[in-house]
Amino acid sequence: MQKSLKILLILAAVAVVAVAVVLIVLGRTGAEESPGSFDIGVFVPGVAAGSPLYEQLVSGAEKVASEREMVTVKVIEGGFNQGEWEEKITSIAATGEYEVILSSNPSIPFVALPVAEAFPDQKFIILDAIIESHPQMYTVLYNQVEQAAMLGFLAGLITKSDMPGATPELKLGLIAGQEYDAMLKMILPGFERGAREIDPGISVDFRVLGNWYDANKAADLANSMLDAGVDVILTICGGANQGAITAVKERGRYIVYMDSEDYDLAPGTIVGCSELRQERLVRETLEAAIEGDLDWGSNRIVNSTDDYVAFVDNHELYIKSVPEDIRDTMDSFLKDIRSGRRSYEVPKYW
Amino acid sequence: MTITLSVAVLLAIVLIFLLSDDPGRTIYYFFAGPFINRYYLGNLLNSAIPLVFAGLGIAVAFSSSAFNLGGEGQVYAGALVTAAVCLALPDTNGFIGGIAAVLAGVITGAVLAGISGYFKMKWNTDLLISSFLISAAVVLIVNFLITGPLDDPASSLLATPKIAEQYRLLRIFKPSKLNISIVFSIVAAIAVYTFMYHTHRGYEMRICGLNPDFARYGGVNVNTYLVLPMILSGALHGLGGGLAVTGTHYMALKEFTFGVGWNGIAVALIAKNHPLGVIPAALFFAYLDAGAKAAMLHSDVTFEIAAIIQSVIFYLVTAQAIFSFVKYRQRVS
Amino acid sequence: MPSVDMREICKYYPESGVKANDYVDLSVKKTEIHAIVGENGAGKTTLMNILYGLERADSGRICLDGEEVVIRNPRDAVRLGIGMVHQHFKLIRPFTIAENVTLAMEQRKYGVLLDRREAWKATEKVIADFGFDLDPGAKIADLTAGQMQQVEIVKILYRHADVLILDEPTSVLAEQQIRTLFDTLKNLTCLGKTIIIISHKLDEVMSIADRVTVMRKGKSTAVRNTDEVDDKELSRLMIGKGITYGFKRDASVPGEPVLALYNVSVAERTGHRPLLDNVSFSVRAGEIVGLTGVAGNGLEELEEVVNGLRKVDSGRIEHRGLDVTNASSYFLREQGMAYVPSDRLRRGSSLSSSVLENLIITSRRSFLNRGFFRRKAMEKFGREILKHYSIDTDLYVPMGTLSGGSIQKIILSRELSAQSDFIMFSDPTWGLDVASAEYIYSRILECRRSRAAILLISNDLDEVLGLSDRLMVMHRGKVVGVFENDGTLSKETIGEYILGLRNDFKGDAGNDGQATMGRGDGNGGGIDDNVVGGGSSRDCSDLSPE
Repeated sequence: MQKSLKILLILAAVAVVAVAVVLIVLGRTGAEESPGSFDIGVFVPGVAAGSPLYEQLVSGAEKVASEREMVTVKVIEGGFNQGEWEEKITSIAATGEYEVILSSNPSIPFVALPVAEAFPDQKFIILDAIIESHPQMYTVLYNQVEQAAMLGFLAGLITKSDMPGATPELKLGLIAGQEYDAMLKMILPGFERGAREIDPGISVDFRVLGNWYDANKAADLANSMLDAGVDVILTICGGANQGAITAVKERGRYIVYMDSEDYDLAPGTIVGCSELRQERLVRETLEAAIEGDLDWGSNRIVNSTDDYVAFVDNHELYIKSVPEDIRDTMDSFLKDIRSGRRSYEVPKYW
Repeated sequence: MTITLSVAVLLAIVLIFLLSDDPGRTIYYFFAGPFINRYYLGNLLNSAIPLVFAGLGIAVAFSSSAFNLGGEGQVYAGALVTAAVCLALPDTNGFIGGIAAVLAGVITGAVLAGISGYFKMKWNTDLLISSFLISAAVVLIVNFLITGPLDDPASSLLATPKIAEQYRLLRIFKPSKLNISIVFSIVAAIAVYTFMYHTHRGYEMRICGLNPDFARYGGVNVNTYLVLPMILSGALHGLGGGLAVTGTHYMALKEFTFGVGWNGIAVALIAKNHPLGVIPAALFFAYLDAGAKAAMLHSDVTFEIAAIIQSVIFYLVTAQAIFSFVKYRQRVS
Repeated sequence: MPSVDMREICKYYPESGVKANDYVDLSVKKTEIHAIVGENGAGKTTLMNILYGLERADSGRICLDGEEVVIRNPRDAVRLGIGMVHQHFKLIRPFTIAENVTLAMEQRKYGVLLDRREAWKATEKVIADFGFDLDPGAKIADLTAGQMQQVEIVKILYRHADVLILDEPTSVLAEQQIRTLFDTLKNLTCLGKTIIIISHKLDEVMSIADRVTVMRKGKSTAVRNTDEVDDKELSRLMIGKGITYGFKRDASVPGEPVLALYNVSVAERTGHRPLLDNVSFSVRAGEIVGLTGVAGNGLEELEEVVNGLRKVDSGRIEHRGLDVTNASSYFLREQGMAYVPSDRLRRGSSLSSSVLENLIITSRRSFLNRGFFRRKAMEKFGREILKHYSIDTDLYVPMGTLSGGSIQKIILSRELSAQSDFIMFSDPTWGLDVASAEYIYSRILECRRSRAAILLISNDLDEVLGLSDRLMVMHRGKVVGVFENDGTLSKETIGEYILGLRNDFKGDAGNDGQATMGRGDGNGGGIDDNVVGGGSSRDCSDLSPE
């Protein structure tokens, strides 16, 4: 026992010596921040690679930094343990080096609240999220009612159509990784409303996977929906999406896809994709923050009219897999939305 | 051990030189980062707390030859049950409710580990395997509960709602998350030490672990001590989980105690299963973690690189500890 | 020209201080069956392990067919044509015979794939060539012990062995299987194989072997042709002349029985022969009862039964009239029964614990104050013991760092300090140097003087003869002889009982013996009826073969 204590003491000594040696050799001390620069800390809740929204978050911020003098970006990935997110955001705030902490995820305002309380000077820009009014935060929410409604409208057209995979039943499906406010208050109602524009008799079968990775279970859920006559499924379950797509493809039916342009994943099966233009939003919001034009404490909802939320209708696979008459109907519907003639309000759920 | 540590540190420095564009800065923050401000230091101490409990749990079990590999599940389930009890009693007195909640977590851990001990006693099943399998299943069940029935949609996290204010333990080193459970962890280490080395039950338990034949010969009921160390081990794990909820996170998040169970084993091995040695060993692990975080934040090191450097040190030290543990056991038998 | 010639082989085990082989010579002729006999610990198995490369001799030479060889490991031995069948089979139960036989010497297809067909064929060929009756496809788990042994032999033959070593080959076999084995062995010598068997069953040795090498206490003491020697002479060669110890037993009048066993039986798990078969005896205050026999004949089981470590299937054990049958070790210790076990390193002590922790195992509860140890009292207790028994060590030294003699002294002091009225010693001086042994004998006699009842279980005949007031011999789980040790009892007589050359108690005799004993009437007095006076053995019945 005495031994292990000794060992740990030795360890401490070794560590200190190592640090000292390195410091002397390199003649450096800690961090030096050039005054007057605008430093952005980007917190990625997870890892950026493989997640389109987070990749855009990082690339948007990096573009701003490369275009402007005196703007620096530091990306910190939070990893998959949500329990560590708060601590990591706190660490970023605790450095006092960053004018703004930028992040994107509906949960971040909730996670960042105690951090903001502890560091009253720290500002946060949080996208894909909303909070009523917090003087240190600026949040931007995508109008996902609208986003889902576009997909619902297309799905409604298809289920009523005589496309080869369409069934007589007026049933659509939605598979979600988990239940969260944006899903329950925006996406599901939006999807339903879009579809019911076509026929009020259309019903949406809503299933929750319980995680974001179990592709087998997603396939099981998809199959049980397909058995019941569902012909178009909206799948929002991260890594598990692939399971649902494969199951649907085998049965020759259809998928509509959120958040990214991914027709190539399953040509002919994925018949519609919507997209969030996060990179643009990041750039514009950061520019405003740097210029001092950001109204801290406010929030904003962006939608189709500003082209932050979009349906990807110019992809060749879309044109190839969806019959012209449906595309035409869809086209005029999208025009209505873009022009604001038809709008889907976000209910105040926060 | 000294050599292993020096090699580990040197290797880490070499890796940093290879992987970082600003090695001086990275090394500085990796090794000194945890001490540059109150916040980092507090978090270092705070992240050592669950490791102390897990390490104690393992030390109790291993020094009695009860091989509990189910720490992960026991910590995690203990945390969830604590959170669930807090949420079920939103208006109870903080002291009474808090104790009830943490106690429920402790019992959960104790039962989970105790099952393995009971199976061992009843059917001579292998503790390593049964505790590991039970834990693996429990992790999935807890995941389901956190993401399903107990999930709070408002937070958009895979997590339960936050527990009521009155259950949250006092923070003693703001703005860090360090809270009074650090006192509990020290008390627990002393209590475990006292139990194991100054009571006859602890003595019997250790003797049963070191040499069951000798214990049986000396009239010790060896069967009791197949279950007791597992129960104690599970209880300590559950306590660690419960205090992580009431002290640090205020809620149970999906897989938020991920790794604590396994690191607890490494901590116990480095501490040579001595309850008081667990404290510095846990601090060492927390220090590594804090160093990696500081380097990530202040230098150009990414999440992955920090993890690589951290694991190099971790594996070397753990391998050394396992090696000497195995050698020790060979000497005994 | 001898086939195997081992010269001046020495092997010393520094851990236990035992000279297992002390200038041992062994010469085995081609195509003979050569037996090595000797008591437990005589060094037979060590010698064979050296020949098979499992252990290395400290010095000495090994020649095969006149050429000196170096055998570093079993692989070398196999290459040189030496194979060994161990007492405990080394077979993989879920595998087939063919798989076991060809294991580690597999025929390969394309360099990597196992060629099952080839393995099967090769095994079948060996079985046919040597006239076995085995199915290569049968699973080991489905075989009888006799068949498993045949598989072991086939395995060796498959590796082209010319010299076969069999360690106690009959110990696991039933009567019929033994005959089959002997036929097999004779057949193998006709086919040019040389066979060495280790045994201590003299009747079997006489019937199968051509020549015998006798070993005693690490030395080879004699080589004989079996047709020129009888089993009585062999047993004398094995056991040797008695040693006189430098101590004297004073006269002692035994008191009341302290421990009594009535018809205690323990069945073997596989069930064909009981481990303990109707054992009855008593130990009285102020006397030493010696119990001896060859390993595997029930001594170990009896040791465990008396300490409560093993349950009995029938019969009754009483301590001072109190029924303690199947009572726990803890209860027995509370009753005042102390025990110095034969396995002092595993059962008698915890090597990685401190001396103090070893000393308090039996008295641990007396140091408690509200559940906590009173460390001062504990240390005082420990220091007093060390002082009283003049053991030169510190309380906090790990037990494992001490010498064998010191460990035994500590165990002894712990057991004696409890002031028990019954003490069982099992092989108390095994592996110890003469000084330590003398010390332990003096302590045992001291216990006798203080009127404790002492049961001394030992493989060492000199020890038992030197210390015991009465002496019992066990063979195959039965008490086959009870003697009053009045100084005229000879080692040879006891040796004959030990080796099963005389089995006077068999059959009706055993039953008669039981009939005279009270069935648990509490005083155990009836047992004395069994005691035979006058040094030579008078038997309970007149069924003696002589």
